Amino acid sequence: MTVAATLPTLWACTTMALHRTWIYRARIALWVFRNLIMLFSLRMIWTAVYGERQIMNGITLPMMMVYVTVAMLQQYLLEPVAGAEIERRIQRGTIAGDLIRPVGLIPQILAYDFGTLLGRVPLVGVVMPFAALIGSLQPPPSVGAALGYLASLILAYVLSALVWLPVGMVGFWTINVAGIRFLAFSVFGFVSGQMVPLWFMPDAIRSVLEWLPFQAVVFAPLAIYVGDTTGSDILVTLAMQLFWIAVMVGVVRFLWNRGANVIQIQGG
Amino acid sequence: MHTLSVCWQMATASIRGQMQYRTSFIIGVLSGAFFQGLGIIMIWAILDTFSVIGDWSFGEIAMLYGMRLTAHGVYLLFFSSMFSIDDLVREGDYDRLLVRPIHPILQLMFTNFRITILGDLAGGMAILIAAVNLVKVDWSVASIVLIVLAVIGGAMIDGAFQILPASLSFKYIESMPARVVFDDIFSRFGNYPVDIFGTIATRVLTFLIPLAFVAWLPVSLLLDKPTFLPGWTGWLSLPVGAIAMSIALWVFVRSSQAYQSSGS
Repeated sequence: MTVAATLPTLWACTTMALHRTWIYRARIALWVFRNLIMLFSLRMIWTAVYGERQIMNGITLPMMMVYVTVAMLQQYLLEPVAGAEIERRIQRGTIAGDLIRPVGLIPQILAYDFGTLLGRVPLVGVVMPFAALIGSLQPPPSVGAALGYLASLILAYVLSALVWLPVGMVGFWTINVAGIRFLAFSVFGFVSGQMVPLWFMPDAIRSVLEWLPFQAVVFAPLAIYVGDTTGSDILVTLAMQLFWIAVMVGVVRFLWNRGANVIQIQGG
Repeated sequence: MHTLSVCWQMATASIRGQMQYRTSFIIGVLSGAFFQGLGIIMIWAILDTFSVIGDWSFGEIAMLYGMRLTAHGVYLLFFSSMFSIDDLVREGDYDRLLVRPIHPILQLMFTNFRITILGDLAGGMAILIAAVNLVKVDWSVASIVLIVLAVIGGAMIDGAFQILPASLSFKYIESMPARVVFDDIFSRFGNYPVDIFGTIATRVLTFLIPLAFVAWLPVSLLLDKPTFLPGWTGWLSLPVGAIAMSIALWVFVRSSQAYQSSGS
């Protein structure tokens, strides 16, 4: 089957996820509300942490406020669905149906993930005014930074899906991934820079995290947005993200080749 | 007396049941401790760069953090069944608690005596003990009594603000949103000196949701730090906790009269 011929099938997966995103409106409202509580707490914590200081490691408090606010908003777009969706399909046994379709399982899952993303784009628009009120929202300092952020965010999204896919794929072997996913999720918050930006990490930890793919999902685009990464360094960031995407494609392929034959079909 | 021995039997049976799944038990304990450890590592990372939050050093914040976490662990040890209250009500399983000759609250406390919580509890105590060595305190019998009372009181305050929203379940079937919002408030604001969140939030978190009494006020008294209240209020954790818990249990029992025994 040619690539073009698979597109309608994949598009069906995408629209399915798109519709599903908005079915649980009350859940979404709760999720947004919890994030706004978190944003308020982060705003006050960073204000207290800065105290009388104007600047720390080249970052001002207003830059930091924009960082936590945009971090929360972009998290709606980067929040992993792919890994959890694989696990759900394995546990319910519906993965059997997915496997006999003429399109591969992984492309189906990625198409589903993309649909969720499309469904969440309007959500960011709705939350933005609240986030600006509770946190602080400024446009990037230059047109170059804005374009760089946009490009970096797109790569971050692709990388996020690829980083979380293997976590769900562990389910090929273990069926239950909930514990691992919870653990991975809490570690990710730390190593990605979602909670504490890499600027403020102790040097030893920072130099390790810089060589891992996770900061490329959250920290790298944000550093462009607030204007810490500028000029040709933006291109270096984008290249680094592309490199990690290539690596993760390799990892996902490897796991798929090993795991496709051991999937157990549950239920009946 | 008889009730006590039944409670003991329910708890030990529940523990025996969970010990059957060794791997799952170990993973549960470890991930609890690990998750809590990560929170303190985060604060350590920030303070490695900035050295203080407000005028609190890392050791002092760690003490606050350890105290709140220990209190949280004690509460979870007895009331983690609140997590599944929505299922109990929706599936009609609350029926089973009503037909037994022990108060449903006691059954909720002891039939689901979750030992994986020991990970959280051990994590909290480890942080507390480590922090004690990082701060300057004139240790006396009184200061140790203060910590113990604050942990018990803090556990009751934390528990009250889970039991209160959980009682919504009987009428509305779903109490999860209300529970997680309170859980968020306790975990987002409880690990820091409450007054960094601004005047309004401080008042709300003292008088409306008495989170300030869980760790901030007692630790401030211990470390001789000024708050907007007189120092002796650090001793009030236990009475505040007892009052909050009594109200919460009363509301829970009252609300449970709306239970419809649906099941489906």
